[in-house]
Amino acid sequence: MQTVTGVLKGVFNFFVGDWIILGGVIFTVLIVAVLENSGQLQQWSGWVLLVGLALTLVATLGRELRS
Amino acid sequence: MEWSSAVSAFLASLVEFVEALTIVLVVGVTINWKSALSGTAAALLTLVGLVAIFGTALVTFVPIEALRLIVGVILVLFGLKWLKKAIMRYSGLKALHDEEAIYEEELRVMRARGESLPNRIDPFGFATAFKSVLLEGLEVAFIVVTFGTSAARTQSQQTTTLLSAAIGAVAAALLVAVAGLLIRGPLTKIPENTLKFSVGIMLTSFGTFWGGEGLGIEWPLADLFLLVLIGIYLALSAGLVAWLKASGRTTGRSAALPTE
Repeated sequence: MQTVTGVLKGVFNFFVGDWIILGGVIFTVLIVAVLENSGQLQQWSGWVLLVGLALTLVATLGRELRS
Repeated sequence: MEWSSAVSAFLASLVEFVEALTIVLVVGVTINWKSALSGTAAALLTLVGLVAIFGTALVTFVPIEALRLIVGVILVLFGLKWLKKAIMRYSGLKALHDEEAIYEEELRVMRARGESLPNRIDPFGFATAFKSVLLEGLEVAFIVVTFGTSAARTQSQQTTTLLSAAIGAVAAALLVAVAGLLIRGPLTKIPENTLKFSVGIMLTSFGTFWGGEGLGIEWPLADLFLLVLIGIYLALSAGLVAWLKASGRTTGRSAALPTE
């Protein structure tokens, strides 16, 4: 169990190492995927992706500032 | 030789190779050339293997949209991590005495003395170069197959048009490789944190672009929109540095770095 946790932690640290970035990116991608399949709001999906990623960066830096 | 196929494939491939070169250069300059070149070589070998196995059926069997999304998301994760660190250094929020900063200071001193940098393969550098070259290489393979097959009027003509498109793509690769060799020298003179900041901007911009394409987004201006994304992320980062500096002054946190 400890080995599995260690491997998962290693993979997480290698790819991102920051829960806010990981959560923000996944959440943004999911929202954009929904928009892309909705039809009507499809034209805004590019800007939603950009704004979502920008907010993720702001959120992680904001956390660093407060810590 | 079918010139229309060769020229079309040359121009279309040039854009893809320039995108791959950008990532390989930033990995080479900021991490080391061994990681960048071994990642590139591994991607090229994978690509040759895929082409050898699938041939022109590559277009049918490789899910390029899914690949774009996966590579895009991973690049965004890498890019935001690097961008965050670089912004923190520029704003003085990142402490001087952390292990990473000490390691980077050692590297800076070694560079100043003209000593060579540690030349072991770095997993991050290898993976970044590998993914970018593989994705762009696959796009070039798709260009060659599409242009090569669509230009042929008869089945017997297809070999000539495919070969012409492949020659166009190889010429573009050679041109970009020569350009990369010429640019490599001047890039090493850029300060460390500026380079890391550029890597963050590039990886995030390319990741947003490819990830968006993988999700089905059709960017305005096609590949030129990458420049717009770079501009947006640069402006955002400049704003964030100013915000963090101002907040740091209000909360009394010291502005220690950068040392360049």
